[in-house]
Amino acid sequence: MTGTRKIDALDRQIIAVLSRRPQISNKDIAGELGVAESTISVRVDALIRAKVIKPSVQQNIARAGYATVGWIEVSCDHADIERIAAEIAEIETVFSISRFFDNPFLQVMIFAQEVSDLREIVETRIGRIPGVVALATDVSIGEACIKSGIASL
Amino acid sequence: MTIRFDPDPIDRQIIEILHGDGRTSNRALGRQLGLSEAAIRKRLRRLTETGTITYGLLIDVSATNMRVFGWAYVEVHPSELSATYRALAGMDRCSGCAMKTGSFNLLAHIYAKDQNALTATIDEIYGMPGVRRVQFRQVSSYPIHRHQYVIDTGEDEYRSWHGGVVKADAG
Repeated sequence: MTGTRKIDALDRQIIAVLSRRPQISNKDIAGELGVAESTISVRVDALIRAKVIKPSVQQNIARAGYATVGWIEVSCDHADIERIAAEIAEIETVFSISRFFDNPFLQVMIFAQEVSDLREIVETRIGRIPGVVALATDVSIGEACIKSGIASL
Repeated sequence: MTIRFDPDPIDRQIIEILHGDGRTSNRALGRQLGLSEAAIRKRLRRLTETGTITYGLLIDVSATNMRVFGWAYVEVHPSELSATYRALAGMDRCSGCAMKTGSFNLLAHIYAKDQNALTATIDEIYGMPGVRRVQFRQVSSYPIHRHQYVIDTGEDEYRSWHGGVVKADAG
């Protein structure tokens, strides 16, 4: 489980260095912080194993032909939220599902190559899930960014 | 403009391994995929130079002091849309931002450490050019977040947003 490892000042310094330069070697972290390389190596491994951090490569969806982002707000009964979210999560182009306290209870952020792909998802996938009462769809126009950052690891 | 690059099946395997562990060495990648280090290096160069992949550090939310999450729906005067997009996207408490259809023409995902910090962030958004209305919808949970994907605009300040949020006393 996450959150069980106490992180101290050195851990925080290591995380700060890695967040600026994710590809830095343990040797260079050691040099920057004035600590032995073996210490850094043990710390970094422990932080990764405890799922506090995850050095990772992320795919830039804008370069993969997904020019459009859509947000679909889903209205449904409170009792159906979890089942509907689980069904929507099976759609591969879904980036995230956010759950709110009030209806529309779910907001689905989804990648699309064409706006017509969104229409397809809305009409033939999400719209056909039992219990979905209404959908409100918005699409990106112009600039968009999704940063690398915090996640539930 | 956007250059499209289609990773082939080997590229996709490389991306998957590096998503699991971004510090996997080229030698280890080569061994797993039966390729030379030079071949791996060449593919990685192409993937990074085309902006197809980005190296990043994901930090678990438990290691930060961020406790409030949600979406800010922002109505901005159209003449100020670009300026306010840049201001919002550049905030380090903003993890993503987009211009969109609808009367709320900007959408930003934001985190805050508590109610006071959230209030300060919303106040800051109201101070941005042309902002007429901000509606904040707090998120109770994320049934899915595919953090293997980002939209990288190539601008450093929009690339990662965990600077300064690492918690003082996690655990």
